[in-house]
Amino acid sequence: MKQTKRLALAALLTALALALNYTERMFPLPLLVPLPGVKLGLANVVTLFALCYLGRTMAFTILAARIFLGALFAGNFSALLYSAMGGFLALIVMALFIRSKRLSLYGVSILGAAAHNIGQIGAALIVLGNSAVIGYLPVLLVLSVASGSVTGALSALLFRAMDATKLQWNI
Amino acid sequence: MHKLHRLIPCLAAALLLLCGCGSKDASYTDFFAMDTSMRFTLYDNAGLAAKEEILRLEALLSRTKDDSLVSALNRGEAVEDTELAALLHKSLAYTAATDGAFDVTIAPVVSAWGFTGDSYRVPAADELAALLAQVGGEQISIHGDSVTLAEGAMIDLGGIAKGYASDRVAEIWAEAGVERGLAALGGNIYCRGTKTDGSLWRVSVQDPNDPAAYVGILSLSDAFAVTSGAYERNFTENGKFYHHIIDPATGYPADSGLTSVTVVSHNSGTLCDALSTACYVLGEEDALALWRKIGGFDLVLVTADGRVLITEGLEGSFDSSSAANPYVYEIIH
Amino acid sequence: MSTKSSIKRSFGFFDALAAAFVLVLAALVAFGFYGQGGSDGPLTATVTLDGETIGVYPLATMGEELLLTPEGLSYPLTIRLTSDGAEVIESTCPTLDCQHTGHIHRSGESIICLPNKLVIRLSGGSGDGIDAVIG
Repeated sequence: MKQTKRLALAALLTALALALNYTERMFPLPLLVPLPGVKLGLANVVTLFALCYLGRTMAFTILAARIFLGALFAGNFSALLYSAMGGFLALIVMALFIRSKRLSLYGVSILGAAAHNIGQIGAALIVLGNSAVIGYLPVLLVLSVASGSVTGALSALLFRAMDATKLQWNI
Repeated sequence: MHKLHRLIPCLAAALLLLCGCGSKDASYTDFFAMDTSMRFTLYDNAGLAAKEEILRLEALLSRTKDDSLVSALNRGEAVEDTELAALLHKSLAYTAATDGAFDVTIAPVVSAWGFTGDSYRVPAADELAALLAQVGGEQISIHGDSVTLAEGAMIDLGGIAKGYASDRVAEIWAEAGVERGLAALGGNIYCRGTKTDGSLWRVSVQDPNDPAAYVGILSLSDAFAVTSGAYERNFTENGKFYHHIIDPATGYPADSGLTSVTVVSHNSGTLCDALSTACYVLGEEDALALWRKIGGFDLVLVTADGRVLITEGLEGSFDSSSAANPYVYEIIH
Repeated sequence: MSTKSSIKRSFGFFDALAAAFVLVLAALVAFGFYGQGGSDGPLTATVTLDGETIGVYPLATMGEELLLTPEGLSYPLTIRLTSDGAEVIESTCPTLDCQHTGHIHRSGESIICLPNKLVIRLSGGSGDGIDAVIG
């Protein structure tokens, strides 16, 4: 793929990730987990896609861009910490498991979502300095099975659509 | 979509897990009455009617409510009420049985110390002497259902009202067919039957020296238990410690060598309430003498010199094994 | 390079295994965290500000309610302690999550106000299997 095309695609994906970030606010997560800044992690669809089609470096770059811009738009530092720890942990875990012959997109997404939430609780732990936040981890982990399944399904849809295009596969 | 049918069991499992957290058999009803927080532990709604009864009693017996029967009495009016008359008969019986250690007419003295409100003060000796003239069982006149007080006398049923309320809870629960439950009315408890797993109700007795610890755990069924202690309400002035359990003989806070008294009975909450105050005033020797003389109840006494005395009726029902403290435990026969 | 992705796309056994693993992890954390309930004695509320404990309140024998307005908060709030738990009844923090948490009454539960770095945590109580406290 030509460089400019890659760049344009990366920018598009970053925008998509930011949009997903914004959309997931519709889910009443604060009712279950009253920690401001905690997110479901739907934007991991983009990370997964980037990992599969564009390579690890691109995935990392898009993630970094999404995190930086997301914090800029949100306007506070702790949002950056949550996004960063959650996003990067998810990326690492998904990158690890994506080569597995046994797990499908669903398994990878679920594990990515779980990693995302563990990262977020880790961030809360740093910010608050009190282990009380660990009390919310069980709920988040259970939710990650659901949200991971959703992102997995979205990815499956997306990848099938991708098959129709001529985009080169790149793991 | 043909892949989604595998998603559903996943989500279902997730939801089920969420629901499983924290579901219990018992339900708790919390409310505030008689100046304290109260809680019913019940397994169905049949016992909730008792809450209305407690509120009714509060309206009737509270010294701080202007339209209560007690306030009317304290203003010098004659009051005609079967229930109040019966309760005051009981109070007088306890006064006699405890040689005056329990006395509802101690009200003016308690007020003089500021315990009725929250502005504590140390009254002068002659002030107390004058007030003590109005203290004594003879200040209450009961003819049939009609009650009057002698001139200048006042009563405070704070030392017996919750105990009486717990008796009424027991009666109402019996009528309503409640098989098991626990009513915690401040420091007065009544427990009925056993818990759903067949185990007895576990009631811990607070350590008078450490509010976060206990001296032991009582295992009870169909029983009443009340604890009194100086640590509940007190103040310090000029380096001296004053508390709310006034000795009707002296007008001063009881200094009897006890830091906490718990009375347990299977028959009467009113008795437990009255005797917990009385035994605190009486001290170790006289309290145990009373126990030997009239019986029908058991005691847990915590002494200022570090002993916990348990009368033999509670042997086997009082568990101090998990209480980490330097007290010396003794069973009294 | 092929144009088809080599990762599986349909939900299979190992995906369910991954999901189960996450759920088991959740259960373990929940047990480890909330199972610590009954250290010693009755229900107690511990209030910490920025990691430092600013108050320990034994709740079980609390007669009336206790209203706390801790000092030194960036966003002042009022905590209400009763004999069976705690809640934040008034707060000036931007997200009000602390207030929305509502009333907590079980050991291990906590109310967290992140903007203030304030945590109210309950401990003790149910662990000993104590049904009531008299004292």
